[in-house]
Parts: sequence; C-alpha cells; structure tokens
Amino acid sequence: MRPASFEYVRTGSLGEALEALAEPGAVALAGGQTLVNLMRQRVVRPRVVVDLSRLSGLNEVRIEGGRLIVGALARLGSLAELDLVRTACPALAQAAAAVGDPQVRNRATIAGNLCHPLPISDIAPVLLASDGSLLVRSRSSQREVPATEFFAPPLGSGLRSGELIVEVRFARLDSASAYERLSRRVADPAIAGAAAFVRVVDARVEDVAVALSAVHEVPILVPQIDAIRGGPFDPNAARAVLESFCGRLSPPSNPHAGADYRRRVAVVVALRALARAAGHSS
Amino acid sequence: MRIEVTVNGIEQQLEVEPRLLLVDLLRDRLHLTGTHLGCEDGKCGACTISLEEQPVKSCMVFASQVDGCTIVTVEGLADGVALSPLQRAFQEHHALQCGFCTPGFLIAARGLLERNPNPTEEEIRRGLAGNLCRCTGYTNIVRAVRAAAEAMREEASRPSPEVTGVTKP
Repeated sequence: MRPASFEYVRTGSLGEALEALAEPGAVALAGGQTLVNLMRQRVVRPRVVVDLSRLSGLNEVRIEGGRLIVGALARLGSLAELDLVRTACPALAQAAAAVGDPQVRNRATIAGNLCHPLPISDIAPVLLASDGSLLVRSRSSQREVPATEFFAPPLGSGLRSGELIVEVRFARLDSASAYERLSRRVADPAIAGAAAFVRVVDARVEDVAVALSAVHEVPILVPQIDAIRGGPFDPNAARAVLESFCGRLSPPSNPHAGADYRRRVAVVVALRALARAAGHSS
Repeated sequence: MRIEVTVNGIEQQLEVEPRLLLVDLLRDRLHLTGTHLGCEDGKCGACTISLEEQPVKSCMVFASQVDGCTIVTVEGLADGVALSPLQRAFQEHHALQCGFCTPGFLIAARGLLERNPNPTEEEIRRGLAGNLCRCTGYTNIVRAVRAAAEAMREEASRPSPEVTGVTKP
C-alpha cells in the first residue's frame, strides 16, 4: 500500500518546525524508519508531515555537566561508532548497534527510536538505567522529562501534542555500562533486552541500575537491584532479584517468544549486562 | 513539489507528490528498474540504494526527503560494460540464482566495504543483515564479498599508472 496524501513542510529552523507541528494533524518526520511504514499501512494518516532533516545542530553529541547530551536527530549508526559514545556510555553504543540492520541505522534517529511507543525499544532501557531525561520543546514551552516519567504507562503518553524531543540526556557516566539482548536473528526485535550500569569501587558495588525492554507494556527499571549494592558483585544475588522481579511481569507473547520464555531470557540478558558492566568498571 | 536529485551522476529535476516513495521515483519515473521492490516493509533489503554514499532502503524514504541529494543505484555500479569488482565477484562465485535480491546486496556490500575494506565473515554477515536471499543460503554471497574485498584492496594498493613517475610539487 502507499501512504495517503499529505502536505509536506520542510524548514531550516527549529522555531518554524515547532510552529508547523502545532497545527492539528501534523507529525514530525526524522529518519522515517518507523513513520513511513506506519503511513504506508495507513495506521498513521497525518495531514501535515514536518521534515526535520534539514535542521542543523540537532544531531550533535557532547558531554556537558557530567551528562552525555545527544541531539534528537543523531543517527543510530553514528552513535554506534562514535568514540565519544563508546567511551562515555558503552551501553548506548551497543544498544544503537543492535537496532534493525545497517540500512535502517543509517537513517533511524535516537528520538525516533524513543518516541515511537514501542515497548521493544533498545535505546529506552539504556536511558532509563542511566537515570536519563529528555529535553522536549513545543512552540510555547520547554521541559525536561525524566525517562521514568516519559516511559510510564500507557506508553506514548510522554510526549504531548505539538511537542518535539530536542535532546536525549544520559547520566551515570561514572558507572560502567553494557547492553545485552537476545533475538532470533540479528536484525529482529529483541525477545528481551537489558541495560546495566555498575560502579565498582574497592571491589564493592557502589552504584547499580538495570532496565529491561520487551518484557512489559513499557520499558522498565528494576529498582530492587539496588539490594546488591554495598558488597562485591554477586551474580547469584542479582539473579534472585531479577527472577523475583521478572516473575511479576506480564510480557507480550507471540509464537516466537511466549511470556514465560521472555521472562527467563530477561533474567539471562540482564545478568550478562551486569557482569560485563561490573567487569569493566574496576 | 519540485526536487533536484543526482542519480548515477545525472542531475534530475522532477515534480513529485510528497507521498511518492523513493523506490517508486526510481522505478516508475526514472525507469531504473534494477532497484527491486520486495517486501515493501523495510525487511527484505531488495530496494537498497546508496543515498549520500550510505546504503538505505528506498521503500522507507519519501522522494521529497532526498531533494538535493546524491543517489547511486545498481545501474550506476558498472563502468559501461565493465562490471565493478563486486558484480564480477557475485558472478564468479555464483552469489545469485534468481537475482531478485542481488541489486540490494550489491549496494549494501558496497557500503560495507567502503567502511570496512577487510571484513571478517562475521562482519560481512552482520553488515548484510538487512538483506534477504531465498536462493543461495548466503554462503556464496559471503564468499563473493570476501573475494571482492580482496580484489579491491589489491586494486587500491597497485600504483596507479597516471601517478607513477610524476613528481609532486
């Protein structure tokens, strides 16, 4: 099928783009790797499409105030390869490299990955576990939304009408991090994905965070993992926390991965991510 | 709306409807039917073209988005009748049977080798994860890409005849 007709707007300034997005029925087009498919299936039928591709400065990546600031239009393919990202927040580079295939990553942007309300986003658990946030703007306002609020159920409620993600901000940069996932084939969506941040000082876990994707209606933090703080990294203690947490989730189920299988995979990938982050952080 | 694109080195000025997909522009308007349309859903990679020197799936891009951009399709790979090293390697290593997926594989592999001139088998398989082939089982495609990589590296290391003997200022 082909998309229904729409009015196409392309602007060179963020202000003009926000004006255009304030119109009813307007949607933002960045990499288009989700939106174009939704439009072709006519799941989404916008009246106006605002092409953001010519906005300058919205794809920059920098460190500021101890946080990694990623411009909304940064492409996943470049985030996977940028030295700055690989050193400051390895989990982000690894999650970006896990999305789709090379062609998709050449177009897909970080904001597109986060604002399409899919529970399977690979980037969302990294942002959650990093204690990150999103800078969001509309024609008349600007606000910083914590990731926990952005991904609160029902998924997709984080962004109000007329709003645009401008920046994605990752914190916890003094902890080592890793992202792990399992999928049937490389380019398939994750059966479960997990981001872990761990800081080990003098062989003791000083800071730890874990978030999961694809096992709940929204990407979700595992707050109980905090219990393993204070002592040496103990995979068995972490496993007990994760098994108890995942046992209470109701993951989506499909013929390739049932709910129970997803719960078990989530524990395994979370433990792998934790072990890798703990090993790297001494 | 009016767009300007350079396709296989030729500048084109076209009037397009905003909803026109890039793959339809290439096939139906420019009659470059080497780019195939398979799944129409971004999965199969048959419609892969090079946009600003990066492989992308032309079924997931609007023609209106490529205004001012440079595109290379499979028709732009050969130099007249002389096949590119990748095309030659696909032929020599039987990396195709029905050929439907081949244009997409060639462009994806070209992008892969530009970034990584000496990929391992694992890197080739990951680099081509966005393309499906239902005939070959991929083994010969991977062989062909390795062979092409080798041929291209040899080509690059050979001193070019025009440069040999010329003293640079």
